[in-house]
Amino acid sequence: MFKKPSSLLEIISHHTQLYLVSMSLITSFSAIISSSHILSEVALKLMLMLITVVALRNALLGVNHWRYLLIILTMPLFTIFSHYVVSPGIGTTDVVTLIIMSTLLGLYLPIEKQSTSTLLYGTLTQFSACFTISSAKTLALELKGAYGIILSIIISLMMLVIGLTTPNVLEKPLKNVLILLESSIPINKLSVPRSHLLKLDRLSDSKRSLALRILTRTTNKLATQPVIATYRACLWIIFKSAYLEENIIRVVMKVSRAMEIAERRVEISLTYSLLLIGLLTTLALIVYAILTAITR
Amino acid sequence: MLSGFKDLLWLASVLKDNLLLLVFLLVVLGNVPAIRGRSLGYLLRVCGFMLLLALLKNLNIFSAMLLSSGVIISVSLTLYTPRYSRIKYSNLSLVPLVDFFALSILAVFISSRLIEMITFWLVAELLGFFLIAYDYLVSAERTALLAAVKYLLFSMIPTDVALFIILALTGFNEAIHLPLSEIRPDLTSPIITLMLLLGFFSKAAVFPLHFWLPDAHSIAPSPASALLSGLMVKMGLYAIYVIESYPLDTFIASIMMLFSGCLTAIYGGLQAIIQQDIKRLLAYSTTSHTAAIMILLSLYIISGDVLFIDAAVLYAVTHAFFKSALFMDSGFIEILTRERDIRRLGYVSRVAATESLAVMISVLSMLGMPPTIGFLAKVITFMSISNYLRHSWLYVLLLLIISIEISLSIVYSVRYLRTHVENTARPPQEGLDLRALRMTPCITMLSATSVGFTFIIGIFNQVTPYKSEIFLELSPVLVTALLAFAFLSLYIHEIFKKGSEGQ
Repeated sequence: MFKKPSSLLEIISHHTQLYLVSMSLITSFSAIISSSHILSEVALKLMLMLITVVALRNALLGVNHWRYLLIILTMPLFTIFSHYVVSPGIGTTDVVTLIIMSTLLGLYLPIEKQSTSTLLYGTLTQFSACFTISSAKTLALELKGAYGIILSIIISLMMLVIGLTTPNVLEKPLKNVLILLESSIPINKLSVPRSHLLKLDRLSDSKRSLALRILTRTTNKLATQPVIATYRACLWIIFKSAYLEENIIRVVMKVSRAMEIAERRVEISLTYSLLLIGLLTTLALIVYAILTAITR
Repeated sequence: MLSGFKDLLWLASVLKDNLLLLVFLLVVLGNVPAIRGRSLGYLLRVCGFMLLLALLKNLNIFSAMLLSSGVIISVSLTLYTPRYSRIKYSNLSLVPLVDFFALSILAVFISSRLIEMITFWLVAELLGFFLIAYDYLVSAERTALLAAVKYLLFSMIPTDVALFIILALTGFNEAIHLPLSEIRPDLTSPIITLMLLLGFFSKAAVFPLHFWLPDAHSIAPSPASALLSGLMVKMGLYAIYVIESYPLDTFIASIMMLFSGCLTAIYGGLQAIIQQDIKRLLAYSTTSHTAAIMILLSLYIISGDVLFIDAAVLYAVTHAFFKSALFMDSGFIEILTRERDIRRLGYVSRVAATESLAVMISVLSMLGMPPTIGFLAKVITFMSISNYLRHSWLYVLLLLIISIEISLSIVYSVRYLRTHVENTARPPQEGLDLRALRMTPCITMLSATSVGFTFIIGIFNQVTPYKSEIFLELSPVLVTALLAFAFLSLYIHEIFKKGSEGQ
């Protein structure tokens, strides 16, 4: 049914994802049918696992490499949001939270559109996450049985639509800007710094092809200075977003190493202090014993 | 003839009253050099450990759960260690050390009096010291001695000081005659509370006395690491649980436990992510998980809600299961490939399909997937904190920290899994030591138990009434998950097997 996975890790993650999708759907349905808040919480927990596993899989397999950093933040972020969503009653904050969550789900659970199967699979994953959240909300509103299921499905579909459209909506303006630049700027007259060209090689395929298209297809018509500045700003944003992750990882590694070194130093000083204390105590005891023996 | 029968009856009644003595005798007999590596030796040792389960009914929830999981881990290890020791050291001298180490730790959990607890604690610590220094004793490996000395200074001494403070405040007479639950040492002085907690932090490897653990756990032989990480660090948590019932400075205790717990949970997880040595990765993850359990124990002090104790106990049991299994697996990998660097591994599933499946189950338990015991632990942890979210911002913060800790555990557990399933790595030119495959059944048994234990908890109702209710509501989901999980496991096993046949 699915795209043929290329590695064992991918096979495992695909099946774990499928397993979590089905388990969260079953648990959410059971929660509404039996009006169980415990099951609803369990379903939310499964949804959190699902999002984290998908985010990690995408990061490891390079589908969404830039999201690698956010993996660590995934669970806390969704934990807090989901707990606010399941609070009793409904208000403007709930609607806003649901919209934010839908957008985040759209970003975290991207749908690969290479084939119908991957499209279906991605949509199912996103729907399962949306349904879990909406069923928890429905249950918090004390809506049970068929009404609960119908309302949950309606909310989930709305969330799904928001999740599917918002990332695309955000993506399109950026693409339009680049296409506009592509058609109007003569890039070969632009002095692109050599370091930027070198960095281009390290970009992901899609970003590189986009940037290279800008570089190759342009004519000698040089636009005005503000356009050049805009183009450079766009390039700068692309490079920075690509290297942000790398830099933060480097910083984390450095901090960890520094802490390890500090840990070693504290350990050495503690060792010597303990040995010194032991030695001094022993000496003091010996002196005390001798003095007691002499004075007796 | 009649007098002989009477003598036997008398002996039986004495043994019934002194079950621990009988267990000790069976383990000693099972370790007699002539039968240590034979079926009879295995049988005697397994029976010895299993007999400890007869003591379950008189114990509190923490001891009961740690004892039952400890018995399962000890049985797996008593079967695993002879195979490991024979291949790695060409003798069986490691077996008695590991068995008595396990026995002494379990004896700590079932001790009814303070003096018993302290005695078994000291024995366990001493055996732990020799196990960490084992490579120095057999092959003059200097790093092993250094790790053991570090353990002595930063784990044994502070804990022993803490234990002797309790003994001094209790009084020798009470420590001998009164049960642990009836003694009332006055620990209300802030200094005393501080010293006791620091002592037990060192055993649980929580900041600021955590640095002995990564070296000790990564240098000790794998069966010892499994016990050190799976059961021994729990002794520190158990001691904190015990002193929580005595009068102590709750403000100092909760602040210290929360601060150290939060710091270690994140720090341990971050360190685990960047480690390349599989045993160091597991060791750092132990500090992170132990800290999470400590946070739950501190929330019990603050709120008095027993659900936090239930969550802490389940988390501890889960950790004991998967960490022991993963340390046993690290021993397997070490022997099979003579390698511990994650970057040079990744082909194990193509050589040992069943082993990789067992590891996958343990990793899924660490992730908290249903129907493993890890799932139950994570669900109850989240529920217990969520119940208080509206009481104070502190609970929101702690929920965030626990979820970051879980996220980090997902990242490093997938890194660990890559030692088995990364496709690009190639086996070494000099070949693999396939004798390691003899250890696979023991690891598989332990991993499978982590799934079975979820249901055992429900069946034997070793839980509070509230949690029983949770279990009842969860049971249809758990049964469905079990079926789906079994199907998933079989499917992945088939894929691994195909890979190993291709190899």
